Amino acid sequence: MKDIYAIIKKPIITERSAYLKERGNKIIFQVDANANKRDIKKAVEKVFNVHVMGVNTLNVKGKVKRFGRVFGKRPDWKKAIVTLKEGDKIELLEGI
Amino acid sequence: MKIEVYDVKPSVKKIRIEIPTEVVNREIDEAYKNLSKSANIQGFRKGKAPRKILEQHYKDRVESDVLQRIIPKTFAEAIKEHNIRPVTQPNVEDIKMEHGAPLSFSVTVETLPDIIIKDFGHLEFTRNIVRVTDEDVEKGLKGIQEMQAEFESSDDHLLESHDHVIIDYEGFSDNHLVRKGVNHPVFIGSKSFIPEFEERLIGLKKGESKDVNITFPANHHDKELAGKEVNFKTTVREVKKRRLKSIDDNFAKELGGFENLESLKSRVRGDLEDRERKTADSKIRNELVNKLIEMNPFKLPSQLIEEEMDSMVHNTRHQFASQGIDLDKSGVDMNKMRDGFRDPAIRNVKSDIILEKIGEKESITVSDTELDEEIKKYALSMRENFQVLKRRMQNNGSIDRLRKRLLIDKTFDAIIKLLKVSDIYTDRESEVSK
Repeated sequence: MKDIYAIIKKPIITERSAYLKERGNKIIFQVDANANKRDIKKAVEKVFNVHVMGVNTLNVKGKVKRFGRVFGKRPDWKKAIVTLKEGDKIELLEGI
Repeated sequence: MKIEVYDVKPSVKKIRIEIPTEVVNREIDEAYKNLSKSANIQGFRKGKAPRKILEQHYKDRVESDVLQRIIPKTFAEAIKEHNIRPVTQPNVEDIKMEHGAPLSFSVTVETLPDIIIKDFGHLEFTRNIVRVTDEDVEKGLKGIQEMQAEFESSDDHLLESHDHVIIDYEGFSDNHLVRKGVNHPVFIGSKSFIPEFEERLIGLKKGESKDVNITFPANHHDKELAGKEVNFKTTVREVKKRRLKSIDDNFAKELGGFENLESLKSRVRGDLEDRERKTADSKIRNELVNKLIEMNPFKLPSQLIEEEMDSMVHNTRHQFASQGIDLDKSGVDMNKMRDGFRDPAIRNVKSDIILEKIGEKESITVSDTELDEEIKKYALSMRENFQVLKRRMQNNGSIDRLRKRLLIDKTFDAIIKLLKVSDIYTDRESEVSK
C-alpha cells in the first residue's frame, strides 16, 4: 500500500463503536479491503497523529440483495477496530 | 431573569431580557431528552444515541425549538412583572444564544399610552325620559288586541279593511298572462300584496269576481311588472271577517297571567316605561363616552385602529350575509366602506380603553358566575347547550371578548352611579319638536 491516505475510508459510527470508544478508546473504521494491520496502524498514526496500540480487522461480507428478479450483491469491505493509546484522541471524531 | 425596559417612544417600549445559563441549559437538556426518543440516527436504535451525536444532527432544530418555547414564556412573565400591555404583535430581535452563556434578546412592543383618566365626578347629565301617556298605553293595548284578533268565515260579509281574504287571480298585461295565483291569502290593509290592489277588493263578498286594473309604478321592484298596466281577473274564494275582542277584564285574563284589565294596563305601561328608560340610558351612555374621549385626549397606536376597522368591516359583512346579501357581489366599494369606519373605529377603541381604565381604577371585575350567566343567556337564545357553547367560546377566544364587554358594561353602570344624573320627563311631542 503506497498511499496511506487511501487506506482509511470512513469511521463507523454506531452504538457499538460509541460503546467501544467509551470503554477501551477504540475506533472503528472502514478500511481498504487490501490493507493489512500494519498499513492501518501506520495510516492512523500518520493521519490523526496518535499512538496505535493494536489493530483488529475483519472482513465484512456484502449482503445479497434482491430487487424483483434481479439479484445484487453489496461489496465486501474490511472493518478495522483500532485501539488507541490511553489518553490519545482523534479530535475529528470527538463529539460525533 | 434580568429584565430591562427602555422607552423608545412614548408608546413604544423595548424590553431586554436575559435568561441565566442554568435555565437555558435545563430547557436544552429537556429538549434533547425528548428528542432522543424519537430521533432516527443511523447506527443507533431510538433513544440510544449519545447526546453528542444528537447535537451534531439536531443542534439548530433544538435551539430554535427552545427559543420558541422560552421567548414567549419569559416575555409573558416580563410584561406581567412590569405591567406592560402590548397592543401589537411583539417584535423579537437581537437573539444571542451561545453555549454556556446567558440567553439574551430584546422585544419591541407598542403599548397603550399611559393615560391618566381625568376626574369625571363633576360631570352632570340629564336623562330625558319620554313620559308614557295613557294614549301610549291605549296604543299598546290596541296592538295586542289586533294580534289577538280572530277571523271567522262569512258568506255574505262585505270585505272591509283588516279582513282576511282568499282569492284566485290571473293578471294580464297586453293580453298576456303575467301573474297567476290560486288560493292566495291576503290581509286587506296589510300592504303585503299590492296596496292598491288590496284596497280595490274592499266591498266584495264571497264568490264575487272583479277585474282590477293596476298600473305599476316605474320603479317597482319587479322589473317585469314595472310601469305596466295589469288587468287582474280576481275571484274571491273566501272571506274571513276580523273580529276584535273587546278590551276588558276578560281579555286580560285570556292573555294569561293577568287578573284584570288594570293589571294588564300597568304591565303595558311598565314595559313602555322600561323601553323609554333604556333609550334614554343609551343616549346618556353615548354622551358620556363622547365627553370622556374629549376629556382624555391620547393618541392611539395605528395598528389598533386598523384592526378595529377590519373587524367592523367583517361584522358588517357578516350582518348582511345573515340577511342573504353578499356584499362582495353587491358592488359596494369595500375600501370606501372601510375608510368610512375610521372615525367610529377610533371612537370605539378609545371608549373601550378609557372605560377599561376606569374599570381598573374602580376595581370592577367580572366574576366567573356572571360570565356563565351571560353565556347561558346566549345559549338560550341560540338554542344551544350551555357547556358546548362555553367550550367553543373558550376555544376561539370569544369568551375573553365577552368578559371585556361585560366589564365595560359594568364600568359604565358604576360610572353612572358616580355621576349626577337628573331625570327629566318630557312629553313625546316636545321630543319630536326637538
